Amino acid sequence: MSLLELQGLSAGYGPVQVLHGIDLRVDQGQVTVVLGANGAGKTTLLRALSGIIKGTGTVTFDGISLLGRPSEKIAALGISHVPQGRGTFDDMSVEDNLRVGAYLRPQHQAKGALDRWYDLFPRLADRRNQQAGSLSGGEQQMLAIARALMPEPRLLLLDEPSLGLAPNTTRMVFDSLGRINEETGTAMLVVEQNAHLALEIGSAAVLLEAGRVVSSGTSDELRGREDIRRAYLGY
Amino acid sequence: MQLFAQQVLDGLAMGALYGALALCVVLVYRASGIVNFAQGEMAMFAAFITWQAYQWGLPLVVAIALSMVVSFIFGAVCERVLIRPFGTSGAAHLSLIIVTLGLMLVLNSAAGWIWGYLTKEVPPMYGEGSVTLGSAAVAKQSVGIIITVAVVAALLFLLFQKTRLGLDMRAAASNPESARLSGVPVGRMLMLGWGLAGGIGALVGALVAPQLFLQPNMMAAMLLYAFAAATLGGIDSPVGALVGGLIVGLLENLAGTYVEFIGNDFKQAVALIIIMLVLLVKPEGLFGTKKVARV
Repeated sequence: MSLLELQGLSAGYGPVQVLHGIDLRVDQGQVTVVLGANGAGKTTLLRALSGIIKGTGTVTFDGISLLGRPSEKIAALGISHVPQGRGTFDDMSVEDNLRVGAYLRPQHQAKGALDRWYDLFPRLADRRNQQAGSLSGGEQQMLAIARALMPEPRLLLLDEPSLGLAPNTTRMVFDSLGRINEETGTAMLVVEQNAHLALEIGSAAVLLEAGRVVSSGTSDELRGREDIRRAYLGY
Repeated sequence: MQLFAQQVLDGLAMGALYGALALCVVLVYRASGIVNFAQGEMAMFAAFITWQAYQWGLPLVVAIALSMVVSFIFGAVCERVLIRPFGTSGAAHLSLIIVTLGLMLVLNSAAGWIWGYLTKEVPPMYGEGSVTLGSAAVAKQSVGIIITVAVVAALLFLLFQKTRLGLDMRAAASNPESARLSGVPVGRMLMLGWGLAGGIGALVGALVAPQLFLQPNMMAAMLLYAFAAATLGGIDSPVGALVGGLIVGLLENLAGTYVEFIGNDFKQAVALIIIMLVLLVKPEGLFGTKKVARV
């Protein structure tokens, strides 16, 4: 059984339906990449999974149905969501941001988790008392990722981690994500415009167009297809 | 000189109460993103509860504590029943403000209906009489008020900065969606914010009632000063609210005493002038967050 299974997930905003029956699965420890143009419904997909917006269909996480559950309950099941635009607590310190991330863990474990992410992202350790809003974009992205990983989730939802970042910062963020996946076995569902980088850490990928899955397969399969290479990889 | 010292201390005592009520306004603003126009009437209603419990024979301190507990619960229930149905995204600002105005009218009429419009006397919690500080004789109640508000402020600071619960409340106020995604039960945090505001407001009501005389319209002017204090300090800053309150209290008292054409009758204009000036010159207030974020 897959860790996350979607069958016919539809969702939208009020009268506007964005997703039209998405089928998708993410296996334990696997990184799945969601590709697609602007407006394809990638962000909506993640928002429906973490309960920020309502959806219909079937979504099960480790056998438990997700739809209709409030966000905080879905988080408690072991799903962390790094929203688009990072969603840091701008007026709070870096350390407080991370401590909020540890809400779901007993307090004595939180300290160890803090040290671990400070080791992985030393720049966050340097700025632990600084307000999150004053960090650079790359640092904020690292903070958002570290915060989402504080509860040791089994599935990490990432919404365009490269948005607004310089190319080498993007590379660094993806390298970290790949390493985290290898070391902790955290499954990830990554929405990304930078298909090239995302496919490097992803083992499977789906292509979304106008709220429907139009292709899916392993990363290599998708990379090998000429139409996808032209449209999303640019060579 | 003696008059001046006295006016300063009286101003500070009044200012501490403005600041404490402003603190309630700020707590609600941070939770729900709106100014609660009913905050003053909630404190007034609480003062009636204090008076009633005192009339029934409870010691004054116990009556105040009881009223604070009732008001805490009432504040939390208000958030859940009146505010939450509009969602927590903060999109329904205007609707919510109208709701709080409605609540203000309801509480005002309810107090009149239950207790009537004749003024009631609430004894000062710290007793009659005065203490001599240097050359000035200051009412015991004034000194007591300043100390009480300082203690409340210190406790709140500890709650927000040193406890897990406070951290979660700050997170819920800062970015509700992200807090929820981290597992924080945001709804409960918002109820707590309203509850704290209700409880502190009850204390303010009980402390100010001996001076203003208890009747349903007691808090109207108070709330205006509290708005001035919150605006001056920064509407999202608890520290700002207290500092703002002290400044407004001082200015109001000194202006009333020394600027002849203002006198006692026109003091409230001071609040309006402060609100206008701050919003024009420094809209985020002294301690408020100016929204600057690097992208």
